[in-house]
Amino acid sequence: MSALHSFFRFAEQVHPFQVASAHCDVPCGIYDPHTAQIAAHTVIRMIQLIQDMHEPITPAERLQYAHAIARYTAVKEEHAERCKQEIRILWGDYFKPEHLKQFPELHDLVWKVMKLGSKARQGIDMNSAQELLATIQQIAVIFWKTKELETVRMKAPYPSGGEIILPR
Amino acid sequence: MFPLSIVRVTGHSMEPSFVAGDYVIVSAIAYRLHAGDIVVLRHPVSKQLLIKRILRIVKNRYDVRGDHEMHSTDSRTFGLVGKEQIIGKVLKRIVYKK
Repeated sequence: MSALHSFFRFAEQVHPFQVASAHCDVPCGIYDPHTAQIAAHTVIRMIQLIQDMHEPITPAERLQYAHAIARYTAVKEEHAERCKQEIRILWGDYFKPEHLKQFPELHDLVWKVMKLGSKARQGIDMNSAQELLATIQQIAVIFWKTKELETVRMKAPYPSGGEIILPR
Repeated sequence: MFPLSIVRVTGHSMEPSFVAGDYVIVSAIAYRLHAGDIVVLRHPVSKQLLIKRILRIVKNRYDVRGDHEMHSTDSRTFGLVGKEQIIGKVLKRIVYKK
């Protein structure tokens, strides 16, 4: 320990100095709107599967029908909630005041995802599910713009159809 | 804060440049800020004093980062900071050695 450090240490016993923190609350810095898009596609796919089901006739078919409906609904619930969660993380942890100045529509878009995510859990309205995906994709475009990256809109390689937004 | 102050460092986000237990002499007057400078600033929300390095200056706002990026709360979390949030520039490190 240097003499000067020892002196300051002694001086601090008499008069405590201010403390500057070089601290961390673990911001891993890894954010990506892709997970929310995938979740929205899954919601759309589950609604497609539910709507494509045929009326059961035999007891065995009824059992199969009930089982399939339960699974599709559970997955739809889970992924609609995931849409909300992923967007909440971007909104709360990633986006900053200067992003909001640049993209003042951000609050409304996030709010819309919360409402549409809940609607997707409550029912099987395909229009709402498509709107959920479209809103998440608007946020995705903004997200990549804040990283000064252009985006490309591609045909989604999933049975749900539609598109995905990716950074170029 | 006085024109010149002594501040003690805690935490690990500025390692290896600064370690917990170091003292720094901070000037609150007559300084110009450049990228690479070490500053003491106030966290925009918690108002806690932080010590960080200026990574870049964007339209008179400062992007401040810890040298140890995996263990730092900085502009990646709270955004760019204004000059009014910067308390002063670090002039001298008084090294703490165990």
